[in-house]
Parts: sequence; C-alpha cells; structure tokens
Amino acid sequence: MKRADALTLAFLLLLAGAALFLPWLSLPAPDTMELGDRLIPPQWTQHPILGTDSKGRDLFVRTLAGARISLWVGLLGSFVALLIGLPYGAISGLFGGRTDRFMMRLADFFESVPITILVLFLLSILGEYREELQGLGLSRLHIFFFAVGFLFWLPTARIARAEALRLRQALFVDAARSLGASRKEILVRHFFPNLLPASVVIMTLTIPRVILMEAFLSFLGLGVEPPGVSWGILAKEGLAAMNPLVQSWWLLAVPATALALTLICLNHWGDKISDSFRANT
Amino acid sequence: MARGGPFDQERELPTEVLKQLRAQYHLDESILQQYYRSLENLFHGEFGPSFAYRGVSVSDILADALPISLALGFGALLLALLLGLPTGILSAWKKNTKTDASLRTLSSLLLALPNFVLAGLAISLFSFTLEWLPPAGSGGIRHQILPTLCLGLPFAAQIFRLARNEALSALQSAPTRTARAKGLPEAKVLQRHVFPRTLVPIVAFLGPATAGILTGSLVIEQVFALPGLGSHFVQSALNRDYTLSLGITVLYTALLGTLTFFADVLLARLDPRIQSLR
Repeated sequence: MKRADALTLAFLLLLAGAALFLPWLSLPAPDTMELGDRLIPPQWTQHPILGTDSKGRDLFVRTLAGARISLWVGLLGSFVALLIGLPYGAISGLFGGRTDRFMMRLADFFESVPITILVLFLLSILGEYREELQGLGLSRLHIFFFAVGFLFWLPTARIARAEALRLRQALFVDAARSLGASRKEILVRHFFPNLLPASVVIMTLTIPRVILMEAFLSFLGLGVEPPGVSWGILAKEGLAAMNPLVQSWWLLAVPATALALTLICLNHWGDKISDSFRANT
Repeated sequence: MARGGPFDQERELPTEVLKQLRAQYHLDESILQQYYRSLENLFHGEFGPSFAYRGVSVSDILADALPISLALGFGALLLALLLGLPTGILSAWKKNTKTDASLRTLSSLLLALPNFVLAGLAISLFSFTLEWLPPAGSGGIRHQILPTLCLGLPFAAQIFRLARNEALSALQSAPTRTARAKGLPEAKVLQRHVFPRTLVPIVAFLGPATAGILTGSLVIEQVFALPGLGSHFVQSALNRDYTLSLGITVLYTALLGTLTFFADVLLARLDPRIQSLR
C-alpha cells in the first residue's frame, strides 16, 4: 500500500502543479485553433501527444486547462460548504437543548428535498438573471460555488456537530467554562481550532463529489460555459463529437481518464486521512 | 419565478390569439382560481393539457413514458443488486487477495466516472467499434442493455462497498466464529451468518439509490435518446411546460416516497432492533 500512497500523491501534486503554473509553461493557449490539424489521434511521443479536437485545439493543453477549473471548483466549492456547515454544526452542538433540536430539524428539512433537482432549478433561474448578477460582479462560476456550498453543507454540519458534542465534554472546555469564558470565546478559542482536523477530513471527502457534480452540471449545460474549459465540458464535447463515421474516441477518453485518475487518487487519500483520524479519536 | 411564459416565441402572436390561448389554458383566471383548479384536478389524477405538445394531455405523456423509465430504473437497480451483493461478499471473504484488490479497484473506478462518460465510452466500444449493440433509441431488449448497464454500474459499485464492509465485520463476529468452531461448512457460514447481515445496509441504501437513479436517468435517457420521464422532465423545464413539469415531479415524488417506505418496512423486518427503537 505504501507504493500506492506515493504514486497517488505524486500524481495529484504533478497535476496541481501543472494546473497552477499552466500560464507560465510555454504551451499554446487552450483555445488556439490550428484548423489544418483537426482530429489528430494521440501521437503519445510527439507534438499533439493527446491529439486534437474537431477545431484543431490541442487536447493536452485543454485537459490541463480543464484541471485548472475542475480542481479550483472542487477546492472552492467544498470550502464554501465548510464555511456554512462547520459553524452551523459547531453552534448546534455547543448550545445543545432546544437550539440543537431546532437546528438539526431544519437540516433534516433541507435533506428531505431532492437537492440535485433544487440546484438545477436554482442555476436555471439565476441563469435568467445573469445580466443583473454581472452588474453585481457575480459570474456563473460564483453562482456555481454558492449552489455547491448549499448542496454539500449538510454532511459537513453533521460531522461538525458530532465533533462539537464530543468537545463539549472535554476537560479543557470545562476548565474554560469554570474560568468564566463565554460561549463565543469557547466557540472561537476552543472549538474551531479543534475542529480543524475534522475539517481536513470533510474537505478531502467533499472535493471529489464536487468535481463530479461540476461534470454533471456542465453536461446539462448549467455548469462552466464554453469558451471556459473544465473536464465536464471536455467530456461533454467528446460525447457530442462521437459518431460512427469519424473516429474520435480520444476526445472522450482523455478527459475521462484525467477525471477518473484524479478522483481515485483523491478518494484514496480521503479514505486514508479519515481512517487515521478515526484511529486517533 | 423563472421569467417568460409557455407561449413566448420569437414571433409575437396577435393579441386575440394569445387571449384565446390563455383562456383555453385558464391562464386568465386569478392565481387563486388557477391554484384551486389544479389542486382539484390533481386529486382526480388529472394534470391538465401539456403546454408544449398541443392536444396531448400530461397523463397521456406520463402513461407513455412511465413504462420506459420503470423498466430502465428497476433494471438498473436489479443489476446493481445482483452484481454488487455477491461480489461484495466474495471480496470480503477473500480479503487481501488479488480478487479483492481487483474488485476494489474496479469499484473505485466506477465511482469516479460520471455516468454520461461511462455511457459515452460504452457506446464508442460496444456500438461503434464492436457493433454489438445499438447506440441509442428505444425498441427491443437490445436497446435496453447499454442504458441499464450505464445507469446501474455506479450503484453496483456502491452496493459492493456497503456489502464488503458489512460482510467484513460479520466474518469477524462472534456467531461466525462459533459456527466455524462447530465445523459448519464455509458456504453455510456465508449463507446463514454473513448474507443476512449484508442485506441491512443495502436495504437502507435503497432509498438514496432510488433518488440517485432518478437523477441519473435524466442524463442517461438523454444520451441514449430514450423517451422516458427523464428526457421529458429536462425538455419540459426548457419548454416552460409547467403542467408536464409538475406532473413528472409529482410522479417522481410518489415513486420515491413509495420505495423509501417499502425499504423502511423491509428494514424493520430484517433487523428487529430497528423496530424496537420506538
């Protein structure tokens, strides 16, 4: 298993590095069209190593540009979920009693709504008010982060609450309380720092799900929009380009492989981190 | 909330025509009247006429689309159960062997791919390269294979994980150890002490799985051009076909509610401890 750890970590670091430093690598822009070089299959060893699409754009560059958006969406989307869910769960757990019951029943209410459908609805409505939102400096991507945060805050809140309930019994919280610390002080000085490890676990488990969500929504035309590039968009284009007459399997296979490898690596580390976390408590 | 109405088109209709259309669909009444009318119709199982398909009632569309989606959904669920459960138990029983490792790799691969990507890869392999199965459309059983497979496989992977986890703890439990010590054959141990326990988390998963299959079918039906509820749902949202949209939502809710209810009843039967938690 040690080798698997190293391999997956190396892959993730390499991908994140390439995505981060993409603008400084001397590669063509992801939307540069070479109309003479359309639909070249992967060459593996020479120039279009992963081939080109129907407009002659280099698929290798586009996949890296897609990684930029997909990883960013995953990271920021789960961060939004954390930002909503963590304080919610912590407050619910700290206050206990009636407040706790009310907050958790509210969470139950949100959980009973099929949220995927709700987000679809939200995105399509907000799409109609795009110009007004742009006036406020909000783009489709911001709306997407908000929607995803809204979608994934519930499990985060539950984990945070469970942790808070455990912390409430802790000796140092008792000590702080007996020294006259207010609830706000306990929350800020004792709860949030101790919720950090749990947050890491939540993040690693949420990021893959957010990336999948982005792909699903982009496929339905509600996520990232062209000319923006994400793995969801690339997979959608690959699916659309498929027909029995012209071979273009790499247009789907390349982004699909990138997506699958990334998610497998992320899931591997997510499981690993949450296992070690569980062992500690 | 969403802007525009069902009769908004590029070309503006003459006022008289619009007026008559609105009267025909009762859009000229007050909101309260419309609400009362649709509520009354709903209790009679009537959803009214479709706004987008002229002359067709929503009930007709639902009656046409429901069997297609039911066949797809239940097929996928059945496939997921039949594939996921035995492999999960097998994987736990052969823990840390090559079989276990390869099954686990396969399941994490299936969980890491969005279903439309799976569908695309399957079409390109089985339809275009090998030419075994038709890529899209509805018809005989051959048209059902690929969509069912693509919809069901991710859930098979989920069920595999659940079954493996539960089977692992069942294999280490005291009853299993006693049964083995008494010399019960391994097959009987699996059948009597492991299999029944793995059913519990899987039945509990049936509710969320149904919800997942409903959302999954939105995509899969589009990719395979199946005229089921999912395709109609996406189309109705784009066409502002309120009555059809509402009809499908009601049907989805009823389906999900019924299945979750049966799953809960079944769960209480399987695990008596759940029943006593009153």
